[in-house]
Amino acid sequence: MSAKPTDLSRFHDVELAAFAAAGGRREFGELVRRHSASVRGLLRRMGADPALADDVAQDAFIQAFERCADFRGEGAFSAWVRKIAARLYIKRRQKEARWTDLDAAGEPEAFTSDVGRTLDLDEALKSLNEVERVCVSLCHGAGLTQSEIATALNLPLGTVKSHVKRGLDKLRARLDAGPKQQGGLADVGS
Amino acid sequence: MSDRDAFDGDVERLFARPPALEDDAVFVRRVEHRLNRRWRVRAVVLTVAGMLGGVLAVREAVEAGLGGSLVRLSEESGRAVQSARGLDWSAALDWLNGGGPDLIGASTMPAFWLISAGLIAAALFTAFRANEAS
Repeated sequence: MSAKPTDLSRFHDVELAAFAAAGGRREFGELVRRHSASVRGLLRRMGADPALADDVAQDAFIQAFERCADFRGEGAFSAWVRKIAARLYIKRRQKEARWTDLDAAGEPEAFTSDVGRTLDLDEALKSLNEVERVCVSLCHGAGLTQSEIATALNLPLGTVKSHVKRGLDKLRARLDAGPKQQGGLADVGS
Repeated sequence: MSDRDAFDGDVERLFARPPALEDDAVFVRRVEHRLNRRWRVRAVVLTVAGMLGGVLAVREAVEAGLGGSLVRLSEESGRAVQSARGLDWSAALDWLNGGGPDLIGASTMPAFWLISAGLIAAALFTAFRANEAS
């Protein structure tokens, strides 16, 4: 069960995942090609430095390959891998004991894309502290529910809700100011 | 839809836009390399495990005296047939009263061999398939 090299771009993610579930590494490679930027980007937006983000993203894709049979196509493949990556990142950070006191976390490191053009969202995320940034990224970037975030971060649900709300308020303030400066929310397609 | 809901949607769309990362191709190659390496390791481990299982099976079979048991079964069966022809039923009865051949060993060992052969075949098939795919 393997497609010819030239055919891969014709396949939908769900079909490629089915090939991968049967052991198709080349087909899975196409999925990695399509979605690696999305997964790596999310991890960087959560505050991971580029090396750690790539490390975790690699682990996430390997885990996704192992669990490909579980992917039924109910949601987007990229969202599924982003969720895996976000959980792995949280575990990694917790293991490193860097999140022992999340609420006391300082300002995150600035994130810029490699091509020099700083995206509005990434610029706006700088105004959030680490826990707000992680909560907003998990909620809106990885698609986790607030209860799932609370469980993953070992925080009370109410605390997560207020971090997400505060984070979104800060993002809104930054992004609303954007159009006057360089695009901001006016640039978001629907 | 409230302002807040609309803004949440906007943020989700912004998150859905992946940043442009120049080393994407390098990253993809690294993941593919790791996948291939894991696949090869798995194939080798399965093959070695299969071979080891086969060797252990042979050793166990030899230690259980399968060969001797089969030879004894054959000899005793032959004697029983001879006795039946000569209507010397006492010899056959003696043989049966004496416990007869090692029936337990004789009936379970073929199954053991079949399972061992199956495991080795499965390991070889996996190894061939992995080599074909890589």
